[in-house]
Parts: sequence; structure tokens; C-alpha cells
Amino acid sequence: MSNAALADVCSALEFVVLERLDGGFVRMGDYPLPPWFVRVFIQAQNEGVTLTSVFPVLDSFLSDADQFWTSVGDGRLSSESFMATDSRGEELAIVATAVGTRGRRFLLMQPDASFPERQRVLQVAREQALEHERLVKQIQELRKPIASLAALAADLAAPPSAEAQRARIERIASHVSTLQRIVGELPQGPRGASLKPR
Amino acid sequence: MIQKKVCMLGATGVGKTSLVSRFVSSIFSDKYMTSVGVKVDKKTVTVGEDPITLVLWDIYGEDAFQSVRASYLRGAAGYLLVADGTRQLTLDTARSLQKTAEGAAGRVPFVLAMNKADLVAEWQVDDKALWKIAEEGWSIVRTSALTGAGVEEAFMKLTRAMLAG
Repeated sequence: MSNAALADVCSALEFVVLERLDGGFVRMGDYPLPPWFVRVFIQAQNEGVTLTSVFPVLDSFLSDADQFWTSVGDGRLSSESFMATDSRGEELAIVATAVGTRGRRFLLMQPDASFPERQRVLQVAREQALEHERLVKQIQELRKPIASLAALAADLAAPPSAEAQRARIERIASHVSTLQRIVGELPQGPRGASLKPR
Repeated sequence: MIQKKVCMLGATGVGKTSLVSRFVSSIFSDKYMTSVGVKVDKKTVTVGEDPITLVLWDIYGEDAFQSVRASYLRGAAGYLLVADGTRQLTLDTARSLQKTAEGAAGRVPFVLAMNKADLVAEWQVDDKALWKIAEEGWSIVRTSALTGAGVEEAFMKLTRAMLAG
């Protein structure tokens, strides 16, 4: 593949390729920088900032990357997604990859194309997990008055005085009221599905 | 100007992003939008006459789907542990993350933000449990990202502790 074709591929993938040297980074390739990088870094650079001040998460990733380049050498190490804000105030997810080859150290950065899908899946998964937690909590609350009612039922077997009878009725009414409140608060479940026994 | 890296740590859904948003932009949204990556915000505060820039690393929540990478904590001058008072399990997660943080960042100051103070009637974490934690030397602030109560106090308490350290 010619250098021009390779540059076109990098450009299409919105890659920024930098080489890690002892004094910092130099850009590889003479293809136009991807618009996202211009909006996030180049326009901010006019204010006299560095790569790690615009992408603070790189500071942490580069520690891992330096260790990787030193100990492993050839191969690659990817970061998790991190958010950057561009000159229009829009957020985008970026992923960085450290690549080692033939003794040279490269840092690749590009928008994380899988981010929206991952965000959507995790959003649903976490909402479901939180809903599960809420249901467990409600079941635990339900068990308390049920246990008390069971104790009262056992107590009713003994012949009561009029005063004890009144106290029992008040306690039963209180537990029934609590049960009604808890049952009333029970969610209807996702997509309107009823949680009542069928 | 002095800069201090502060990490936000806690279980999923406890309100880390909401606390940052309230502190930095005075904004609260009641729509739950899960964090997946890491987002860094900055806010300059003043302690005495000195301006200090807090570099706030809002790290996604710890749960069955994602674990916090210890490397994010490297270089942190302090961290805000966040738990949700209505969910006991989130306090257990905060305790576990505190150990992770201490292993990665060393013995740097931290504050436990017991969030969702506006829902105190639904809290599973009682005063007795919090007293027990406080007796271990933890600094605890009840916060509400919704009302803003305690938010400034939590961050400022942490800032003062970082400067004193």
C-alpha cells in the first residue's frame, strides 16, 4: 500500500497517529488531521495547552503505555473510553491505543465508534440492576409486616381480655395499612407488565 | 496555580456525575444517564486567599459490568467516595473502593459523601452505621445533588484536607 493510500485509510478511520519520542510526541503522516482532533486539540492548543492537559486521562494511560513499551515492546495496549469536549462544547468518546513495533512507540487516538452501543447496553443493564435492587428492598419490607401478622395470628389462639383484643385489632389494622401501602408502591414492571400473579 | 487531582469513586447510580455537575455547573438532571468512560472536569475554588483548581475525574461506577481501573487513581491528591443512603450495598462498595484507592494512590485524604439526603425517609443506612464509620476516622458529609445540600461542603472539606496533607 502506498503512503498516500495509507494516509487515506488513517483519515477515513479518523486516526491521529503520534510517535512517542524522549522529548514528547511527533505527528506521523501528512494527511489532514481529523476534524474531531482539530476541534478538541488544535483549537485549544492556541491557548497554550499540552496533549495531556486537553486529554487528562492520557496522563494515566501513558504511564501504563510506557510500562508496556518497556516490558512488552511489540504489540498494542488500548485505553478505556474517555470523554473530551470540543470547541463547540460537544462531548465525544475517545479511545487511545499504544502500539509498539520495531523498537518504535506509537500512540493512536480515534473516536470510540463502539461507545454509543456500549452506552446503550450498559444503560439498560444498569437500569435493570437498579430495578432488581428496588424489588429486593420491597420484598424485604413486605416480609416484616407478614411476620408480625403471623405472630399475631398465633397470639389470637389464646382467649384475650377486652383490652388486649382492642390492642390486637389496632396492631392488625396498622399492619394491613402498611401492607396496602407497600403493595400500592410496587412497580408495574418494565413496559407496563403487571407484577400481580396471573 | 495549585492543581489537585480528585477522583470520584462509588457504585453505579449513587450520583457521582450528578455531584460533579452540581458542584461545577450548579445543574441537576433527574434523568439517569449511566457513565461508561471517564470524564474530567475542572473547578477553581478558593481556600483562604489561595485559588486551587480541582481536576475532577468522574469515573464510571463500580458494578458487575465494569471495574474501576486502579491506574486512574495514580497521582490523585484525594478522592470523594460516594454512596447512596437508600442503598446499603453501595456503602459496602464504597468500603471496597476505599481499599483499592489506598492501594493505588496511597494514604491521601478522602471524604465519604452519603448522597440522596433528600430521600432520607427511604434510607437503609442508619446513623448508627455512619457513627461506626466515623469512628474509624472517615470524614462523612450528607449530600444531595438534587437540592445541592452538602455538596460544596463535601468538596471543600476534601480540598482543605488535601492542602493540609
